[in-house]
Amino acid sequence: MNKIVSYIASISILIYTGCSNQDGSRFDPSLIQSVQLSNELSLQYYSSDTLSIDNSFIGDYLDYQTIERNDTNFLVGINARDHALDIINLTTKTSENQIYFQSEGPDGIEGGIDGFFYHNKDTIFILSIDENSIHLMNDRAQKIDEFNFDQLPLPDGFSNYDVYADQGLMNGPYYNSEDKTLQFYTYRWVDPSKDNYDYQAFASYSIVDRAFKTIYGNYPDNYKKGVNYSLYNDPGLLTVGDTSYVYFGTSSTILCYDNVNGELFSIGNYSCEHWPGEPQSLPRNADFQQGQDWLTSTAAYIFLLYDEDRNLFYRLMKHSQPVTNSANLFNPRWSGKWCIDIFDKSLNPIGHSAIPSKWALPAISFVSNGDLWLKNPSSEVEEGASLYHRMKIQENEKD
Amino acid sequence: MKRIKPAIILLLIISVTNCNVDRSNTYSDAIQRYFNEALEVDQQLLQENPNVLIIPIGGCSPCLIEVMNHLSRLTLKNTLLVIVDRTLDHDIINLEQKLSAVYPIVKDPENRLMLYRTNISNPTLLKFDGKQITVTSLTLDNYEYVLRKFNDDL
Repeated sequence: MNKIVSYIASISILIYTGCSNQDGSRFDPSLIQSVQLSNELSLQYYSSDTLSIDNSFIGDYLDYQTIERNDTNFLVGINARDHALDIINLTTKTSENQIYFQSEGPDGIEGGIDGFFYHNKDTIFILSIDENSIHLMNDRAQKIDEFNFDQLPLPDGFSNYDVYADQGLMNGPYYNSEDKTLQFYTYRWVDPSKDNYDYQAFASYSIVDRAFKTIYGNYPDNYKKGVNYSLYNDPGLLTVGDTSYVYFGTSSTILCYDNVNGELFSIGNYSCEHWPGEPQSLPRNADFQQGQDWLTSTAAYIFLLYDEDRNLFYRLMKHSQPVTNSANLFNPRWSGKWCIDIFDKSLNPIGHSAIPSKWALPAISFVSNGDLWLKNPSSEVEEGASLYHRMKIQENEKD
Repeated sequence: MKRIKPAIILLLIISVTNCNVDRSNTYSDAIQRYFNEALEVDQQLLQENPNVLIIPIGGCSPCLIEVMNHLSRLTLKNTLLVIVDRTLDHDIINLEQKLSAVYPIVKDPENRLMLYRTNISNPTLLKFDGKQITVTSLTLDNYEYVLRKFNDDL
């Protein structure tokens, strides 16, 4: 009986996800917000800061999270070399401690540490793509539980997937503590030449029921069969309570889902004057250099960050830039201009700030205690030090 | 479920599309410029070692360790190694030290290779022959064959 119910549910979801609107779009146009920029706020440079990071060779983390413990703010980052999480005190700006994980045994994480979510000292989720598992650990590196997804099809019946977390992009996992669900990206192993992106990218998984509750996160309409957006084929995710914000590098839309029931309830579709529109796809057979050139010349939305102290969102966009400079040398992908859209909780755009080229490397950025930290790419740095610019929100003067 | 990450897949795809020997010289000028400007390789050294293996050690090339291991067991004559970028990986650092005892090595720790748009992202064999450069990208599938054949031809 359960199998029949499950089958009917799968068919229903397939029918639902297979549907499109009359204009061919995957989305109901009535959900798209019509908004205009009200220039109330901007981000202003506040200070330069140096973090002493023990991960000195890299000097930075590609996957990180900010947390608050006992009124102190910390940056937590994956230290792949040591199979550990590093914890940096953002007040003293020094390493506080590390959580070293075993690679084998009852507390072992055998695969790599590819993603994590630090909820509290007794609830730390570690995602390992190699193992297709999420481990529930504590800050003594003891394993409380493990959730493996090898034998668990997604609610639409698809089973050839991995739980996934991109290094350098932000797409989970997140933990909804009220609902006791994990929100994470499920990478589907689909033949790239046949992939039409007509499925949902994220899953909500109950750690109590050990079962999926829902899937959500449709791709925008420009993601279709044959396109190749390189790194931006993977979606971004930001979760705040019951709401999951799904975004993509090559689209100005932000999709707002209720992660309890998977319902899409709103679509933000604002773009500033610097957004040139959806890019042309890379050719499927592009060589390495064509791919690099494309990443440099293509404007892209990289991160959506949430400032919980001010209830604001910051969306970071790298601008399009020429492939080469005046010396005919390659312009590295992240070194051009950036800008930041500032949204209120309802995704109304209420500010915009420009970041000049080479001044900051916003591909490494986080929000803590109401400040936006952006990586300072200066090469004049001592070993073990990581430089940042700190930005603060400021109200603009009214005309 | 042990799987290869898409980033690695991407590199594999790149390796396949770059595949094997490229005599089209699409990127020859860029490679030549990289050697002249960034590495400032002495022409005498290049004449003595017209075969060059570029080894980017900072990325996630799936055949990096295998190629370095293989090289340490061979002694390719007239071959210069260019070690590009830096790494935290102790295995690779140890292999680099081993290779430096056998081969002349030029280092590019700042990865200036990238700035010259050479289309090189994984271990690559270059043969300098006058103005022509033959480029062979090494992959998990071909590295043993390519290096053995290369060794036999020397």
